[in-house]
Amino acid sequence: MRIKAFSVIAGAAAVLALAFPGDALALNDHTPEWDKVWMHLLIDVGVIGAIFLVVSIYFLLAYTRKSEDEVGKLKQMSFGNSLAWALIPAFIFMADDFYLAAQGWKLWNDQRRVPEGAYEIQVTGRMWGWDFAYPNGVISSSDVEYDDSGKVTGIDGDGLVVAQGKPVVLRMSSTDVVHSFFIPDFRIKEDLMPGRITYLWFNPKDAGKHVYTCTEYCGIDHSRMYGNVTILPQAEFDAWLASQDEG
Amino acid sequence: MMKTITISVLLAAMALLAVSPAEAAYRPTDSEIDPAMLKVDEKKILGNKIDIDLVFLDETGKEFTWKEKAGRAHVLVMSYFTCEGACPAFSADLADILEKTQALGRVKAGKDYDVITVSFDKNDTPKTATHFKHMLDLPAQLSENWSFASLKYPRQLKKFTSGLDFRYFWSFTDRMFYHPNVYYFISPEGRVVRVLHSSKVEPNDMQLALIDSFFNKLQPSQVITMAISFCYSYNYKEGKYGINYPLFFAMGSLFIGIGAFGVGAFIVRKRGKPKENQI
Amino acid sequence: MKEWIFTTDHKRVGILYLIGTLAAFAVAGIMALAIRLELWNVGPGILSGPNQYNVALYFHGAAMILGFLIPGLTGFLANYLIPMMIGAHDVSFPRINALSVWLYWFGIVLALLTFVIPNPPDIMWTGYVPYASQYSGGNSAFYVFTVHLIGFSSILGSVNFLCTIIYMRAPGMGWNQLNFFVWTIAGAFVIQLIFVPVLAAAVTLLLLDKYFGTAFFVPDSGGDVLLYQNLFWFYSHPAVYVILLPAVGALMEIITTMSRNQVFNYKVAVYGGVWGVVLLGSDVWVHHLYTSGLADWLRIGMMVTTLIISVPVGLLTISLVGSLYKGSIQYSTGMLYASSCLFLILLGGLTGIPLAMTSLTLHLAETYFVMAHFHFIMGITATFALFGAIYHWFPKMTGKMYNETLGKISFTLNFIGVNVTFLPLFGIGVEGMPRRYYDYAMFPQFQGAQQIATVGSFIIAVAMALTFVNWIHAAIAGAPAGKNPWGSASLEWTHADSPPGPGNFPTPPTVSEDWTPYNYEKA
Ligand code: HEM
Ligand SMILES: [Cu+2]
Ligand SMILES: [Cu+2]
Repeated sequence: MRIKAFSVIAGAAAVLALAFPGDALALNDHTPEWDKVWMHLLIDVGVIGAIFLVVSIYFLLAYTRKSEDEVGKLKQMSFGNSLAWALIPAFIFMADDFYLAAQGWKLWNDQRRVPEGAYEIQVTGRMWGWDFAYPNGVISSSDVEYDDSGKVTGIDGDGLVVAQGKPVVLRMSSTDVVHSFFIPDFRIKEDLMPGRITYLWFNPKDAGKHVYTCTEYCGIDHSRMYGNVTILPQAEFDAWLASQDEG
Repeated sequence: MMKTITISVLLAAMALLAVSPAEAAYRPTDSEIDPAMLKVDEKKILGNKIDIDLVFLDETGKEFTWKEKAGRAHVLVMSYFTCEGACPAFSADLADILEKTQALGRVKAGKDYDVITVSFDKNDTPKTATHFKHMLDLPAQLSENWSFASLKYPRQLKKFTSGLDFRYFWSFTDRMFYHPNVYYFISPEGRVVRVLHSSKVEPNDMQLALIDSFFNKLQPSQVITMAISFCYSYNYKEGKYGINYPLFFAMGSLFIGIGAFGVGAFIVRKRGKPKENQI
Repeated sequence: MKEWIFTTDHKRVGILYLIGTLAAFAVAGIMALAIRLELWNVGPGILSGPNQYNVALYFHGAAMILGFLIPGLTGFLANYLIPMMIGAHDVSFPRINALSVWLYWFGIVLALLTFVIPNPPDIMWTGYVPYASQYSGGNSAFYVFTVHLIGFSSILGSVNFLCTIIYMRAPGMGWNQLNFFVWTIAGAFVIQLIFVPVLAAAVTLLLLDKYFGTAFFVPDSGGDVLLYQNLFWFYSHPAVYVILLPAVGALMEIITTMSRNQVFNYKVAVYGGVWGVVLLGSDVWVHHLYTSGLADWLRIGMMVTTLIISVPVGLLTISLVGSLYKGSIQYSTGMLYASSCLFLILLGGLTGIPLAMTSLTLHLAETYFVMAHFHFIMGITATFALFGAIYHWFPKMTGKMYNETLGKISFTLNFIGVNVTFLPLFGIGVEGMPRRYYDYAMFPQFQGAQQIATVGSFIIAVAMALTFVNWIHAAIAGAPAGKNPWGSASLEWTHADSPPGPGNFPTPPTVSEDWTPYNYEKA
């Protein structure tokens, strides 16, 4: 059962990892790095889990009651043994914790340290849609449309459009309640709040389309607060931005 | 000679203002001021980053960009150095408040933050800056950590002021600039963290705004500073800090349960040895 | 009837808690089925719209935690077992105990009113501001008053049980002779005592904001929305240990009894495990706020404390597994539930480790991965512990034996059901499926996994129905069970009848120096 569990997760992670080959990057791109840390973690907890599980199953099968008046033979431990059974596991867990913390810490720094000269876009969350303000004043929005039955029919607005190959930093806040901006393909999310500024950054390496969506409960249309990140080659992006200006 | 140049530059500036549609509404036809114009929309500019490519000249004539300022929080003030009324008074006020703030004992100019005055007058130069600073007669410690800068390329002014939502105009009748009197608090990363309107600033607000501006850089030794900052929260409507009441309610409530247990234990002990054995 | 309403007997109070918790579980479970059906396909489903979905989800979350698990473990189990385990005739304050259970019942009724009042709350069990205080059209007051009543009930319970454990132990009973469960309850109640008032304060301010125009959490007027989140989790993270600790305690009692063994490394498990969790558990709440915009260094700091929690939790797990070593294991239905928890606690606990890491959580927060994680650790492990405990002490409570075969069949179905329901959700969670979503039109590729989960939830429903049938039938017509069917060495089995009479023990127990509730060699 547990092997199945982790193969499901590992499989999912592997699929995602394939979609984002982790080739060498000039800047510390955190997206492929996330997948690497995730894989390490799966192996790490997989091993711990397997040890515990094998031992448990062995005990459960080996020590079944043989006769009605049989009692357990676990002995009171000596002080030394008892201490060893506390300190050694504690040491092992701590060592593993610090190993994981170190891995996570490095990735965290990449995630939070915005590269110099990243292209800055202001994101405003509102019930229930997104506005993206570009440095030249253009505002691009996204609002999900649905019919009377509640079926989604499309998205109004271009949403977040960015140029390929240039890191993007999103500076975010909300006009009403707490929202959260999540781009699964880039492994990032952060809340937007009224009265505070938060930020995120990502590196749109390849042209393409990715989903972004709201991940902090914000009322009736929380699940309809999504759109697409469209990554265009620089020239097309410039053309898009220019066309927005005129409009 | 100097005067003609000044006047012609001013006229040119006027012409520029006239053609730029955004500013057209504020063209001074009379000396009445639209108070909305002198407001800075704080929420709109929070988090804005100062353009790191802009080149400034300080009062000694040294060039610098904001990149070199990074790593240190700043109080940023916009002034013009030929001003004879409001600006020097406003700067003197700031010096006064900063002195009082320092007396509160948590933040120190030169250690936690620097002050910078940037001129929005195209005509200002290191020379006018020196004069202005000289006239201010700042206390030594502030003086060391307070620079008076003008842009090297004045045509880039707009680039600088628009990110700060800073609008101003020259009034012919009054022969002076009208402009907002605000303090901008700039984080070590060069981003706008807070804007306080000068008329309302008290040392406590100044201290809290300064702590906010370098909050991410607080050292473990500054836990008290951090705790102080948690005790207050910022009120956008009033542009002031207020006590963070929910925190105190919550901390107070921590004693409810413990107190209740104390009462319970007291009663049990008073009952004397429990009668449990008698059933 | 009257003697139940006015009862101050801890056993009857316990049963009243049990009835309330099972009712809450049943209704919240039906809501879960409605939620799962709604998610069967992309687009609108059986519910009338997102609002109905949000209300159902609000009720499911709030009722499962505030109405089912916490009162089930610290209300029902503690009430029924603690006085007997320590050899007392009742709790320190029997009348306050009765007040606690009725406060709790009023809380449940208020929560159930969700289904009849106009504009029911839709604020989720977390009630984040400013949505809950300024923007929601629902009557958040019902949520707040439910928290007040159940919280007040918890504080009274904490005082009562801590006093009972400290002052009412049988003559001769030292600290190291206590049942492990008693220790876990003590830890849980210390947490409740200290932290519940903070939650109560936070939601009270929310209420004032919503109905009385104050601005405690209104950012424009000096409020701070992040502070609410901090206060909420300042209680609600420790609250998961209020659930986990007694669950582990109950598992330990079942495992040691059914393998006739002592607790593996008792002192370390008590002083390191239980009290380690209580101590560390109060410094980790920010792991719920990794993506909320708090200062980066705060997130890193609490990542370290959160990871270190794995040490006491690991010690507890080692003691659970170790107590099987060289045991003499008999598989009752209760023991099957307990054994399966050794697997489930791993799955729930180890999937918590990535969620302790800020960097991985930047992706995983608020997704189905989190949802599956907390279902495994509390929705399943703690729930299975509670169900195992009900089976285990059923003969004591009723004096009758349930049907073992039906018990084992329903257990098997339940175990299959929970895995079918929640394992696929880890997968789509990692791929980005957000929680609290009425619709997932942006991720049509997840429909398959959602459907498997829905099928699984109906397997659970069948298993639960069989379980209830078993209990009700056995309570009415079960075979007599006898005083000590499992051959336990604990006082409630050795010294009390099944069911125990008033005052619990025909002769009040006194214990000798070498007595422990696990001393099977001597017994
Ligand atoms: C027995 C079968 C159960 C099923 C099928 C089930 C199903 C679900 C589902 C599908 C959700 C999330 C829906 C969404 O995010 O849109 C959910 C949320 C939740 N469930 Fe369960 N659940 C079950 C049992 C439990 C139990 C026993 C607990 C106990 C403590 C529990 C506690 C919660 C909580 C706290 C939430 C979060 C609510 C929120 O997001 O505010 N569930 N459940
Ligand atoms: Cu949302
Ligand atoms: Cu937690």
